[in-house]
Amino acid sequence: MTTKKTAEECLLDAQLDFIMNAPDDQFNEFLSETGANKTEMTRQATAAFDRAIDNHANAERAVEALASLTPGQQAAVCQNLKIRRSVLSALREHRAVVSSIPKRFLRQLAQELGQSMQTMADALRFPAPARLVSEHKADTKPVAQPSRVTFEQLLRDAAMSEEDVQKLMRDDD
Amino acid sequence: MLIKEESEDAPISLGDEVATKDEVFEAAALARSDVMNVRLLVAAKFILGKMSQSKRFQEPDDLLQDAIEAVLSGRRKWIKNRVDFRGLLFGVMRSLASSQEKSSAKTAPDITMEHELQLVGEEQESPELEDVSIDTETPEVVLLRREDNAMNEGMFAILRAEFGPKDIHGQILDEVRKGFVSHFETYTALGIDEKAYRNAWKKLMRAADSLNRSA
Repeated sequence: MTTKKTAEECLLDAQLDFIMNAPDDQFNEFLSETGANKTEMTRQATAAFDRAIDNHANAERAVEALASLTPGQQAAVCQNLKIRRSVLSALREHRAVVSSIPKRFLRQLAQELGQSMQTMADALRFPAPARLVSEHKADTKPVAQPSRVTFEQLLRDAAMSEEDVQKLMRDDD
Repeated sequence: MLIKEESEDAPISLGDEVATKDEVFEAAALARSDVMNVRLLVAAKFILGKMSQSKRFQEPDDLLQDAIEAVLSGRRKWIKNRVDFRGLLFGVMRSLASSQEKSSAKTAPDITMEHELQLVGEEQESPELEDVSIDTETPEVVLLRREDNAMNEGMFAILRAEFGPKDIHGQILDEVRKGFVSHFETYTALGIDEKAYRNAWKKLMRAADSLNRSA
């Protein structure tokens, strides 16, 4: 179903087209007419790229830290977090909807891996490392990333007790 | 329940060229050092200016950063034969702001309304397709969306009211309102020359910018 664009959306289309495609002289003229400080704006835009690239690198390290846990380390993490191995496996395969993971649990998981909570959240939003996704599907062609489910659903799928689910879903300290 | 939160890409079609990770990073590095990366920030500013309930993205550079991260992480794919890298970031920023706005507006869980249920019984015949269309939004969501649209239409109306009916700026807005395709098509449809159009458009941009800042 297609919905008709509002007047405001049409206007935004036209504005973005101008911002993206106007020749440099016209765009610069527009900027100077609005009194914008181009040097400062360029610095802000460059800084946004730098922060994104830094965050990405940190998140990649966290992805790797989670993916390369040895069986012994996995057992220790499961014990400390009071979760079953299948829950940790699902987390390592990035099968959880990140926004459904209670902050308290996310913080504990991050601590286990020596990461910040934000980096851990960013890492779990990444597509799962291919080597982990294909682990269980060795006889088939490589498949698309598995669908994500809520954290609570992961706990229930792992047949954790109702009491444990409630404890893990608690978001207070 | 399956939730598609982490990737909002449109389906990939046959013949689409999805950029590799290296290509994405190379393009990001080039865009970073491009002196015109300021256009991305200006775009973010205009996008946020339109989004009444974007509470998360407080600053344009935050929105730009989130869009870059979404692309670098692979959450948003770059289909090279459809759009260039800068165009991709424009689209991702718009999509992120829109998603945020929608999630802010959605304050109540979807519930099934009685009128949505299909009646059954001996008198019931198989209904025609056009008779069973269902509005899946809750009344509250519909109300919020209408209020939001009304406010946006209101902003457009305020901008339009700054110019007279015969004024070139007003005529441009009237033409854009019908559905924007390109600036070329707009000034061709209006029968005005490019230079006059460009000057008028810059004035409209400044007026909209000023309106966004005061909203």
